[in-house]
Amino acid sequence: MTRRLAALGIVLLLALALARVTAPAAGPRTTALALGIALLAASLAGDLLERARLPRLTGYLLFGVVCGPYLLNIITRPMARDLQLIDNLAVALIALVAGLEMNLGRLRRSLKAILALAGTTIGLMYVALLAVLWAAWPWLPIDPAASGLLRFAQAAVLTTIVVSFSPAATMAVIAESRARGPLTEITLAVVIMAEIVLIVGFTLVVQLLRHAAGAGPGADVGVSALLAWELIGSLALGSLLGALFALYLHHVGREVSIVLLFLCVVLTQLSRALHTEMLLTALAAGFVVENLVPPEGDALKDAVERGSPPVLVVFFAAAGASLQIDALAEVGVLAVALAGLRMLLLRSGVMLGTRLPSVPDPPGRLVWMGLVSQAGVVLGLAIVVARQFPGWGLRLQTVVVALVAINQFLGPAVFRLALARAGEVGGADRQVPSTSA
Amino acid sequence: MRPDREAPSGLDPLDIEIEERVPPAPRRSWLPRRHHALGLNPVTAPAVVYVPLGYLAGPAGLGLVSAPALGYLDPVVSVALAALGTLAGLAAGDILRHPRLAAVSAVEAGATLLLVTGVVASLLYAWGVATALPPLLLALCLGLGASPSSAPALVVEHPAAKVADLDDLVPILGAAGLLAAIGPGPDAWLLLLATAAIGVSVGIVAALLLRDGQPPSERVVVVVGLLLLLGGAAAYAAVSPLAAGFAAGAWWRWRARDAGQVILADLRRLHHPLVVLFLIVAGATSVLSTQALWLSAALVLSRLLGKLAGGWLGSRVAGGVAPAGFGLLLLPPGVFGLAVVLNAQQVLGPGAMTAALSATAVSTVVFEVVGVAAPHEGEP
Amino acid sequence: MMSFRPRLARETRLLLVTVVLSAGTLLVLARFRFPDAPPPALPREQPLQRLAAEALFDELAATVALARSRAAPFVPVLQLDAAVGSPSAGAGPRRWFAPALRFRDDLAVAVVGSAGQLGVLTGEGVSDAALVAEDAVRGYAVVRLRGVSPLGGPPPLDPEPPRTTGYAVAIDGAPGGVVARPMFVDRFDPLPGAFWPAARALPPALQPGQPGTVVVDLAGRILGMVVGRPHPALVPASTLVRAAERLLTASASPPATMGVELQDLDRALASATLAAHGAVVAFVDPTGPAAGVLRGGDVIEEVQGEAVASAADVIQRVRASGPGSSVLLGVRRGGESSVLQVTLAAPVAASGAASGEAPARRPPELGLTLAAERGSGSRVRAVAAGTAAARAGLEVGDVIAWIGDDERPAPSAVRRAYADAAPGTSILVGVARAGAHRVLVVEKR
Repeated sequence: MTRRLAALGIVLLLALALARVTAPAAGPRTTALALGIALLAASLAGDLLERARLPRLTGYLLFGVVCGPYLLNIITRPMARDLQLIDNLAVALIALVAGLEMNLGRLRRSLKAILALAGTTIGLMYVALLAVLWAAWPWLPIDPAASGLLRFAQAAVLTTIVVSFSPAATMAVIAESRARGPLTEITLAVVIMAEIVLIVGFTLVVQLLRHAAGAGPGADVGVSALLAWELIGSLALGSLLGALFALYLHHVGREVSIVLLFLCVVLTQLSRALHTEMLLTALAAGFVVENLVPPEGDALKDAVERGSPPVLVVFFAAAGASLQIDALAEVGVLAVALAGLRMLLLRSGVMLGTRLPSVPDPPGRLVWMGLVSQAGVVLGLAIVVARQFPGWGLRLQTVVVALVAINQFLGPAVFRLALARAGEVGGADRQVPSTSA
Repeated sequence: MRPDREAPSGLDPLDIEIEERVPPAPRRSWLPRRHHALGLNPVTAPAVVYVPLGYLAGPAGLGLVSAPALGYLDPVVSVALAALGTLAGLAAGDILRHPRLAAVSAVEAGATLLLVTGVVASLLYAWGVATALPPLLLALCLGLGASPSSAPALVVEHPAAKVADLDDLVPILGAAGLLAAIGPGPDAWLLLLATAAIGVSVGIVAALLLRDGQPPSERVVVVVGLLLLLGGAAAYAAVSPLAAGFAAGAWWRWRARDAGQVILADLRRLHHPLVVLFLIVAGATSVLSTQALWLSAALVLSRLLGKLAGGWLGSRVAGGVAPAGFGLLLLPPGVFGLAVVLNAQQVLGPGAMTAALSATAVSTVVFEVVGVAAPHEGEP
Repeated sequence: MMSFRPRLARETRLLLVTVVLSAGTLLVLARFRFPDAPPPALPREQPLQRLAAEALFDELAATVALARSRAAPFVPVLQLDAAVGSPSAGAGPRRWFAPALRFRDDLAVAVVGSAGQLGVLTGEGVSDAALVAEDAVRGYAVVRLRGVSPLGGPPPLDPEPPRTTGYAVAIDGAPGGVVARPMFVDRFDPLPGAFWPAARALPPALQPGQPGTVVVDLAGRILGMVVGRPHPALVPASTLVRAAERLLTASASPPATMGVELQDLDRALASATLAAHGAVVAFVDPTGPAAGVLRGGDVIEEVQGEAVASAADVIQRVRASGPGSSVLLGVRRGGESSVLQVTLAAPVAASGAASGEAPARRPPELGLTLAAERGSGSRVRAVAAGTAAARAGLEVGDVIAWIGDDERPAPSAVRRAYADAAPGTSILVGVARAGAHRVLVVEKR
C-alpha cells in the first residue's frame, strides 16, 4: 500500500515540478499527461476500494467524481470534454465486444426466457411507475399546473426515461469483471432487448407529447420511418461494417489493431452523421463477426478483452467526472425517492418474471441488479425532451440528471456484487465452457 | 521474421494471435502473396506502406484527416516516441557487452551525421531560404535523422544487426540535446535535467507499482498509464519523449530488472500499432513542395555516401568484426530517424519544419525500398 | 493447386451476401427517413474533428438555455413607455423593454431611463408596475411589480464579486420575454471613482448604451446588472440589491437637510482643494444644522463612511438619514481630512437657497431673459440652465411669437402667462428660429 501511495506521490510531484519549471502548455499537449495520471490514480483508487471489499470500478467512478469539475476540479471541464471523445470510442469498443459475445446458437435456446423476463419486468415497472407519477404529478417540481392529456403524456415521458437501462454500463461491468455464465448472458440479452423496446416507446411517447402540447409533429417524416431507420437501419449499418471487417479479417488479417481502431472511429462518426443508434450498430457489427467467422471472432474477442482494461478505466472515470453533482443538490430528495422506487419495481418485476416456467431461477432473480445502471444515453433522452419543451422540459432534465447520477454510481457496484454472488467473476479467465442458459 | 526482436517492426500481436487460433491453409488468399511477390512485405518495411498511406489520407492528399484532427493525434505520437525510446533504453546495456561494435556504430553514425549535416547545411546556405531554425541547426537535425539504421532482415547475432541497434543511440541522445536547445522556455540544461528526471521518476514509479502475481488487467492499466505519463510529461515539458523513454528504459535495465521485464513484455504488444500510427501521422504531416523534394534528393545522396563511408571507416576501426561492405547492410533507416525529426516539428509548432520532415519521410521510404532490394547477407 | 479463379469459401460468400443485404436495406430505409436529401454519402472529411465540434456547440446552447431558465423567475421584463410630452420623446424610442432584477416578491431594480409609464410582462400579459424610488446619481430605480407570482426563495445572487474570466450569459428584455446570449467576460477592473465601491468595469464585448442588461453565470446565478451612469459598468448583484434597499428606506423616511449649498468638483476646485472626489460646500446657512461645523470651501468626501461622488450624491445620502439623526462626514479642509458630525433637521419649506437643495433640483421658474421685439414678440436673450424654458428647448436668439392665447407677447405677458399657469400643466409656445417657426412645450412642474 505504501509503495503505491509513494508512487502516486512521485507522479504528482513530477506533475507539479513540470508545471513550475516549464512554460505552461494547453490543449492537446496536456491530454496524454492527464490521461496517464488519471489511469494511475484511478487504478490506485480501485486498489483502495478492493481492500475495502468493494468493486474496483466503484473506485474508478469515485475517482472521476472526486477529481471532476464539481469537487476538486483537477479534471477541469475542458478535460472532461476531451475525455468524452474517448468515451464515445470506448462505448463503441465495449458494444463491439458484447456483440462478439453473443453466440446465435446459445441465444436461440434461451430466447423465450429472455423475452418473458424482459416483458414482465418492463411491463410491471412501466405500469406501476406511470400510475405513481401521474398521481403525484401536481406535487412534483416539473410542471404542476399541467392537466389532462398533457399531464398524462408528461408522466409517460418521465416514466419512459426512468425505466430506461444502460447497456453500455452493463457491458462495461461484464468486461471489467471478465465475467461469463448464465447470469451474464441473460442480463446482457435482457438489457439489449429493453433498449430496443424503449427506443420504440420513447419515440412514440414523444409524439404523443407533441400532440398533447399542440406542437407540430417535429420531424418531417412519419414515426414509422423514424423508428424503422433507428432500429433496422442501425442493425443494417452495423451488419454492413461488421461484414466488411470480417472480410478483412478473413482474407488479409494484417494490422488488425489499427483497423479495429479505425472501425470504431468510423462507427462513431457514421452513427452520428446518419442518426442511428451507435450502440446497436456496434453490437450488430460484433454479432456479424462472431457468427459468420467464428474462429477469428473468438480470437479477436479474447485479444481485445485482454487489452481493454485501460479503456474501461477511462470510461468509468469519465462517467464519474461527468456526473452533475449540483443537480443532485437541487432535486436530491426526489431523485433518491425515484431511484429507490425504481429499484423496488425492478426487483418485483424480475421476481414476477422468474415465476414463469421458461425462466431459470438461480440466475434469474439476480438479473435485476444488472439493470440498475443508467448512463449517458438516458441523459440524451432527457436532453431531447428539454430541447423540444424548454420550460418544464429543463426541470425534467434536472430531475433526470440527478437520478442518472445516483444510478450511474450505484448500478455498476450492485451488478458487480450480483456477478460475484453468482460466482461468474473472472469466468473468462477460467475458460468455463458455456452451458445452455 | 523475428517477432521477438526488440525493434520497431514485426507483426502486430493481434495478427499473431488470430493466426494462431485460426485453422491454416486455404484461408490465406491472394492478397499477401502479391505483397511478397513485390518484395514489399509491410512486416519488414512498415514505412513503405504506412508513410505513403498517411500522405494520401492527410491534408496534402485526399484530405480524409484534417489538420485539427492531426492535432488530436499529437499525444499518440508522443506516446509512440516514448515507447520507441523505452525499447532503445532497455536494449542499451548491449553497449557494455560489445565495446568494439559500439565503437563501430559510433564511427559509422558519426560519419553519416557529419556528411549529411555538411551537405544539407551548404545547400541551405546556398539557397538562402528562410527557415524556422538557423540553417546549421536544421541541417544538424536532418543529420541526426539520417544517422540511425535498422537491419530488419538480418538475424540477431549478425554484427550489422547489432551495429544497427546501437547506432540508434546517437540520434536519441543528440535529439535530447537539440530539443533542449531549440525548445521554448528555460535553459537547455534545465530541460535536459527535466528529461532525465521524467525518465527516472517514471522508472521508479513502475518499480513501485508493478509486482509479481498481479492480475493482467491491472498490469495493463499500469503499463499503459506509465507510457502515457512518459509521453505526456515529455510533451508537456517540450522535451524529447524519445530521450525520456530512453532514460526510463536505461533505469529499468540498470536498476529494476523485474519491472523492466514486465514492461518489455507488454511493450512488445503495444509498440507495433503505435509505430504504425506514428508513421501514418508522419506521412500525413508531409507536404511535397519543391523545397522538400530538393532536400530529399540531397538527403538521400548524402546518406548513401555517409553510410558507405561510415561502413568503410568502421571496418577499418574493427576489421575482424565488421566486414568491408557492411555499410550496404545498414541502408534501411528504421523509424528512429523519422521519430527525431517529427519530434522536433512537434516542439517547434506545426508548419515549422514541414520541408525537413517531408524530406526525411521520402528518404526513409526510398531507403526502405532500396534496403529490401539490396543484396542481403545472412538472411534466415 | 489453385484454380485460375480462386474459389470463394463459404464464409466469404456469407459475408458478401451480408454486405449486399445490409447496404440494400440501408438505402431503402434512407429513402423514407431522409426523403428530400439524396442518399447519404460517407462523410469524407475530418472524422476526428467532428467528434469535438458538435460536443462544444451542443453543450454551449444547452448551458445558455439552462442558465436562462434558472434565472428567469428573478429577471422579469419591464415594458417602458417614454414619458408623454417630454423633450426627449422625439429622440428616443417610444416603447422599449428592459430586464429587472427582483430582490423581493414585489420589488425589483431596473434601469428605466426617462420612462413615463411602466409595466411588467407576466404570463397573462402586461401587468402594472410603478416607480418607487430612483437613484438619479447612479442611474437605477426601484420598481414595484404587481401581478407577478411570488418568488420561491431568495434570488440566487453570486455572493462574491466574480474574479475569474470565462463565459457568462447576458439577459436582455424583449417583447416576448427574456433573451439570453453568451458573452465572454475578459477582465474585471475596479471602477475608478466613488460610485460603486466594489463594482467591476464593463468588458469590451457589451456595447455601452445597453444599461439594464442582467448578467448571470453559467449555473444561473445572477452576477449583476449593467448600470449606466456615469460609465456603464457591471455592478455586482449583491451590491446593487443592498443599495436598492438603502434607497427604499431613504425614500420612506421624510427628507432631512444639513442647511448647506453644495457644488460639484471641477478640475480647478479639485486641484485647489486637493480632493479627488466629493462636493464643495458653497454656502453654509447660519441658522442651519451645519453652522459652526462646516465652512465654505470644505470638501465633503464621505458620508457615513462611504465615499461620495457628487453634490447630488451627498444630498441623496443625507436625505436618507432622516431628520434628527446625525451623520458623520469625511471632510477635507485645507488639505487635511477629518471626520465631523452634523445633526440633521427637517427642511425649511420654502423655495430658495437656505433649504440646502443642490443645483440639481429645478426651481419652478421660467428662466428666460427677454427683450421686447416690436412687431414680432419677445426675443430670448438668455436661458438659465435647468429651468422650464431650457427643458422646453428654448434657445438664445429665439423670438417668442405667441404663448398660449397671446400673440406677439411682450416679456411681461410671457411671464404672466407662465405664472398664471397651474403647476403640472403645459403651455404651448410658438417661436421663430432661423427664419422658421416652431411650437415648443413649456412644462410647469
